[in-house]
Amino acid sequence: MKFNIYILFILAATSLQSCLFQEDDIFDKSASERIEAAVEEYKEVLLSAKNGWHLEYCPGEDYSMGGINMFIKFEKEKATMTSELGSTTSSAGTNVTTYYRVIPEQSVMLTFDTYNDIIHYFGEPQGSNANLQGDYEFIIMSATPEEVILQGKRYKNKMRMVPVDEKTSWSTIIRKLSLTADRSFLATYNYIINGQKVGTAKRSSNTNTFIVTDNNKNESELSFIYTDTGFKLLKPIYVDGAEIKNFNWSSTPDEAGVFTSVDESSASVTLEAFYPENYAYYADFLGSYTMTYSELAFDSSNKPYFRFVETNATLQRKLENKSYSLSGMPDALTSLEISYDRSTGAVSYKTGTQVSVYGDYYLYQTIGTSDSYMPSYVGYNFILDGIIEQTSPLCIAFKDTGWGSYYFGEPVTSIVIDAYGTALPTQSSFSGYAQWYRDVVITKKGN
Amino acid sequence: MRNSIIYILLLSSMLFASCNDDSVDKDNSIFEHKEVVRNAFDRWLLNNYIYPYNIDVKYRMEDLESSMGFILAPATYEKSVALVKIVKHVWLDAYDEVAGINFMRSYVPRTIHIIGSEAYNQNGTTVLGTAEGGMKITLYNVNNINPSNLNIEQLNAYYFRTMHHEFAHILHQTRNYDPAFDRITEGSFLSDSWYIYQDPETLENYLRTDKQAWEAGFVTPYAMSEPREDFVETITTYVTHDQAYWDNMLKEAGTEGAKLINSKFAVVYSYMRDTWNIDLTKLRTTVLRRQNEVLYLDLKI
Repeated sequence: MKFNIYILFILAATSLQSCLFQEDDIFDKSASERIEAAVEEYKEVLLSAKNGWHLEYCPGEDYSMGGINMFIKFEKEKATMTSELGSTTSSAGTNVTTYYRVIPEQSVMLTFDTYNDIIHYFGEPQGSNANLQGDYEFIIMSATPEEVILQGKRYKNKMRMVPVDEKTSWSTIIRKLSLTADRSFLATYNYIINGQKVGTAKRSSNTNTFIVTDNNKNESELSFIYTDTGFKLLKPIYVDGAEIKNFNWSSTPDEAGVFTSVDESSASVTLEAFYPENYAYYADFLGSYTMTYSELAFDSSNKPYFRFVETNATLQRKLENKSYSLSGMPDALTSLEISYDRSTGAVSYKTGTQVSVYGDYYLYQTIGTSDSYMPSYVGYNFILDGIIEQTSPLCIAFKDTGWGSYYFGEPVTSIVIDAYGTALPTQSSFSGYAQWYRDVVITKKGN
Repeated sequence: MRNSIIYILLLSSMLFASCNDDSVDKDNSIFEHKEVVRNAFDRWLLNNYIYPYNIDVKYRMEDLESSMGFILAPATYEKSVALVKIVKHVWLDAYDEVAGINFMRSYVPRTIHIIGSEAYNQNGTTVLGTAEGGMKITLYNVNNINPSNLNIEQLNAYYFRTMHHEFAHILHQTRNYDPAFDRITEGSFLSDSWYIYQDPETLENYLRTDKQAWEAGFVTPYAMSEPREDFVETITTYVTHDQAYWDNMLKEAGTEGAKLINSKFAVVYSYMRDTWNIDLTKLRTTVLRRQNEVLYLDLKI
């Protein structure tokens, strides 16, 4: 009996069908026809910008790396592009050509499907199955001749693209953008809301982000992209419910300068640049020094040992506001390059820099401990910070405060120069170290 | 019982009801009829890969074609051109020469997918190439080629070996080899940890060297991952190296290692001869000659 009841239920469920057929098509055309039409329409839009598009490219999941200004001109098959950063092999504003396609896939997708080092640099693996989280495939969310909204396919950041004014060249815009970045060169800022200092902000050195530390030591991040007048936040902040997004830069001769919010709102947010303690200007480091270090040498039975050396050295101008050359070491095959960071007013020693050509050899800067070193071809970027031990007279010691000791498993103490038979360091053209300086300290001579 | 059967009959008659009498729309095709735009390389591919072999070379990256687990970037146009020309010369044409073009037409994969960047495994090793179901070969790290300064050894390690390796997979996936092969070094396969060598005394781990693999009776460390990899590595190592390399390997392998490698090679050699009518030694001579000819190829479009 029970069985029959079940059967009745099933009967009811299956027999109570209706033949009233009301399945009106919502659209006039089939799905495939519509997506083909969308592809054609979006292609037309991309081609319509005669002087190309200005793309606010955002690598890093949830905008974590800040934005980079890129410029893309679409031709029928290929596109020409450039960015405010340049690439690993070329300087800012250098154009590359690349293939692209607009294809139906997850809606309509714009993909740059042959490699170019402007955009794929952010998407390619960096020595392991990890990258800088930059997309090179974009879902086209909307497209009109005035504005295209793209969404990265893998990392989901939304990016805006607007046509470049036909009378303005890309290089002019890039120059303006770099002017903003140049003028606001300091990394340290007071974070002020409605006139009240609520914390400090530090601009990161590799990404376009500020790390804000409020008065209670809580940290948060602001991701931005440079504009020709200041910067724009990629994720707006809200003060008393009002959205704050756009900032303009202004500097006066006697102040470090300030970013001020310019959104139509009663609230105001400012980032006021300040010189950190111990900040030194580029020119402050130039001059004559006493330099001490221990140099790797060999005794009469060919056993290696470190020999203490005290010598005169000079720190000379190399690239204004960027680098110095340190020379004066006896029997040196090359001078060393010391980097200056204008945003913090500090000096450092960086690996991976080609310092000179000696005969048939290309000499590179790297680092080491007392008994081993990292050949430059390994390619890791390490920094020895120029720690200011005392200010009068100025005394600087080059020390590892970063990841070097993780690599070696013991403290990094040495500046090492290694040599290669080819202009780029490779394992096969590696010919050993050329110079080994341990515990380098330079002390400025009195005037 | 009989009742149930009647119910079931009733049910099925109702389930298969249909109300729709729309005719099929034959006027509007969902396929587009647009002319395909081909660049110079596309036209070259048409004449050298598609018409003769029906192979689709995808040099413009399609992530739907690739493994989503890897972080990858496309290849440059110029490097794809160089690689595709080289692969035709040392792989397709070599087999054509030895086994005839109809053999290749039957068994080549239908898709070759080119990826610019390396593909990194979680354990830090990289994948040189993959073959899927005899239908597709993917080659990685193509942006590493320098067409103006070719390095045959590097090309061999990354691309020639990979093509021979993956094609050998297709051959044994089509017709299997003698299962006796799997039993020669049955207990020595290591799966994913093929690249780790553990010192028997100190128990410390090192990267496995070729010599350590040879001594264990394998032609390469990767051959130790699983039997079918061992099988194709034996073919690949043989055809991409000269006799001097092979002899030296056997010498370095020691008596035990050499014995194992020799018995594997006997299976491999007769498999290729009896199943596919290919003399591996003749194939090797052809491949080696063609590898050296690569330096004189025009690698541009």
